[in-house]
Amino acid sequence: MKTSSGNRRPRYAILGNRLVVVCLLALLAIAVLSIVGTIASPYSVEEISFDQNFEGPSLGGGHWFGTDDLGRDLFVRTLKGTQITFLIAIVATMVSLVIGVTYGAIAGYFGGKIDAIMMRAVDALYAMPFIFFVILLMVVFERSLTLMFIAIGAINWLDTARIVRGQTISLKQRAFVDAARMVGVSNFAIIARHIAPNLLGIVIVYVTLTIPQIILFESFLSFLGLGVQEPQTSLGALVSEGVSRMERAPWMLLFPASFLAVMLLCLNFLGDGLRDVFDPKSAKA
Amino acid sequence: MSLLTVSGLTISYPDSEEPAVRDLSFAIASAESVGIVGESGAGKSQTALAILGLLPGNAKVNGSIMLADTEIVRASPRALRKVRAHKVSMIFQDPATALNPYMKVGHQLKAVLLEHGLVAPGKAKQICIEMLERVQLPDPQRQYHAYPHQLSGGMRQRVLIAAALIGEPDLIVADEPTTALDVTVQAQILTLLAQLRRESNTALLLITHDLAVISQNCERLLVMDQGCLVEEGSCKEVFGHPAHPHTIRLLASVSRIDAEAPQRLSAQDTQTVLDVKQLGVSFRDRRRGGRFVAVQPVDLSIEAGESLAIVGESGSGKTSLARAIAGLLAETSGSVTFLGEPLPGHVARRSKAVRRQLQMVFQEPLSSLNPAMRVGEIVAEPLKVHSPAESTDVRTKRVSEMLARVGLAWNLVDRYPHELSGGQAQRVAIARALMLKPGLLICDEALSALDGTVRSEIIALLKAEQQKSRLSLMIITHDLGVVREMCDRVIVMHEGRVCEQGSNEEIFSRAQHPYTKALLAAVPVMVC
Repeated sequence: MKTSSGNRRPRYAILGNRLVVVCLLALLAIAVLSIVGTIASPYSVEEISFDQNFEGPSLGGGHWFGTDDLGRDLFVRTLKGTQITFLIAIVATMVSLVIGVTYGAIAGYFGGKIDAIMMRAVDALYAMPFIFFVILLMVVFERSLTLMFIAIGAINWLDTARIVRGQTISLKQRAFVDAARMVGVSNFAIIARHIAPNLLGIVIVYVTLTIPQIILFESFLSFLGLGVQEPQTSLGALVSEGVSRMERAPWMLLFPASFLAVMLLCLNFLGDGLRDVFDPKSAKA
Repeated sequence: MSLLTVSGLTISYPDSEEPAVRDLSFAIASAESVGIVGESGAGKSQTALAILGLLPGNAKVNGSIMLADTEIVRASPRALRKVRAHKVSMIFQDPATALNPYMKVGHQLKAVLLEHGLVAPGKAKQICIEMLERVQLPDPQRQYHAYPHQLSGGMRQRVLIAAALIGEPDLIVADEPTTALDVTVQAQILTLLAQLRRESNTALLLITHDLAVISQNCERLLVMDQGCLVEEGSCKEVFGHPAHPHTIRLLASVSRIDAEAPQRLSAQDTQTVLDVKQLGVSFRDRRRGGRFVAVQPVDLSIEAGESLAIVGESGSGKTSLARAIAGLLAETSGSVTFLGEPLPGHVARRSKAVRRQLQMVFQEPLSSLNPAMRVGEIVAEPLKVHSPAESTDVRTKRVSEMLARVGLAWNLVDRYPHELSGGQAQRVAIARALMLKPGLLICDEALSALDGTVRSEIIALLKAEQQKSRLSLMIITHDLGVVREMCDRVIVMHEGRVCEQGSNEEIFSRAQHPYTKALLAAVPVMVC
């Protein structure tokens, strides 16, 4: 059927929005660079050479972004950090989205006792001191990236669930949900077909707020020594390291920080544009 | 010398090619009452807002609006403030949103006086209370301190009228002042407005889609269509001898309670489709505890091919009754028998076969369509649920047949609901309901949000469906004209009780119950 051709219009609309295209391309370029660059570079992330420490950035000397206090090539480290940061931001956001939207939509749609029990559970989780929780996790299990994803996702889905639940409650009172019920659509199909697509706008805006938050949270954990561990690194870890060496070697702050800033800016604009695209009302014919 | 002279007024917006109002010229003499009629999108409200200088900032206004000796177009905000309340004021459509919910109504009135420095602050309160008395608000001393939510719709509209009149303006612009109100309240408000106008010699510009209201309240009228003035003249001339085809169409689309009753389509065999016994609805009252009874136990039945009207004002329980039958309410009492089978109270517990037979069309066409789905998906959804095995080709064919049947062009199939007009959206909702070939269609105020001409088209569509498939209709409405035009039997509800029921002819010609009589008397009738 003609109508089942799915997301035809959103795709057009995305391409129609110049800012979104620019941001998308910039993010893509950063992603590709971070992968290709780490492979192509003659240096490795962990290679230490004390005789080359605190070398300034130079095109001829081989260290484009300079080196850090241990003489490691900052170019490779920045790109590696970008990779990790991307990965954490995307995976943790996905985790928190999938859990949060499903949980919130179910609680909001069914309401009553189900809602009360589910949301009180969320309240209880909110009351837990999460840093403590994360430290425990890290101590009991080994420190690993997977654990990071789980820990960050587990914190973030609570907010998502609350927002989605509120939206769902106001959506389920709209007449189109009653109309779907009259036609005989099952509860889960109503959530999937009628509620969830209408949540998209707000969820996307929320995601654009979440990703920077997750990136910051990750760098905070790294700062405490609970996040990504040396010789692995993330942009957050590099920035916090750069801050402490700011006077001696400003490039150690400058390069990771500008990568981080560009990424966050692009994500924010992208979120703005995506919201317009996914809200059928704002799309121009 | 005319009070208001509008000449060559054109209003356009940057994001639309067609201007909202095009080259409009008219004049209002002092103490005259002029009506503007037209359907939604005709530019009536834009004209009203322009006269008060209230158009949004991105509107481009050309032409001139002279109010006494002030040019409104391109007037500075300061100059406009001087004119408003003093020379011209406005009564808005929805009294619930035109009042600030956080301010006592007395203070909102007082603000008008003090902002414009019309009286000394010490005297303001006294004048406000007198004004509330003039608009016949019961117990004005006490209501002065009431918040808007503590007042009924009619009382709020009285407060708005008081606010409009308190600056003693020369002209009142009333934009659909009674559309949001019940018909008995509408009658009271219109009488009050006429009386106050006579007392203070105020001119009135009344904007409405209801021709009967204009015919009763105005001396002259302007007919607008798509931003243009198409006809102008005294009510007598225009209603008696309409010249423009649009005016003729508007007049033809009026559902009149003094029209002939419709002929019953097929009365030969009487198979009962729906039989309701002692159906009651009550809600838990959170604030006061206990239960609030929305509908007292009701008995009713509908035969095949019959249309039953349930009439009542807001709060009469008619919508609760319809939703209880449809199974959209959790807590009901009594029994519903549909096609000989007892129906469980909630729609989720009803069998698929039954759900198929019982469909509903909702009041607000736009909100009953999922904004994230296209027309084609919306109309196809019932098929997806009830015959999931069907191939997409068959489905597409059935969707296209159904769209043609309700009078929608195939090229709308890829549109989103917000890209449709109100009438198109309601046709989509009807198409979705008819897709399953139901035995009973419940229309909950399905015609109320539509323009007159669109409404008569939808009525014709429903009647044709009824003839074709012996569809039974249950029409929930407050519009007695529609009832007279298309229903066989009428149930009148008041405060959760059925106060009268009977055939169309019985109710409209030989009403027994005093409430029914009051209701009928309040319906504005064309006088010309």
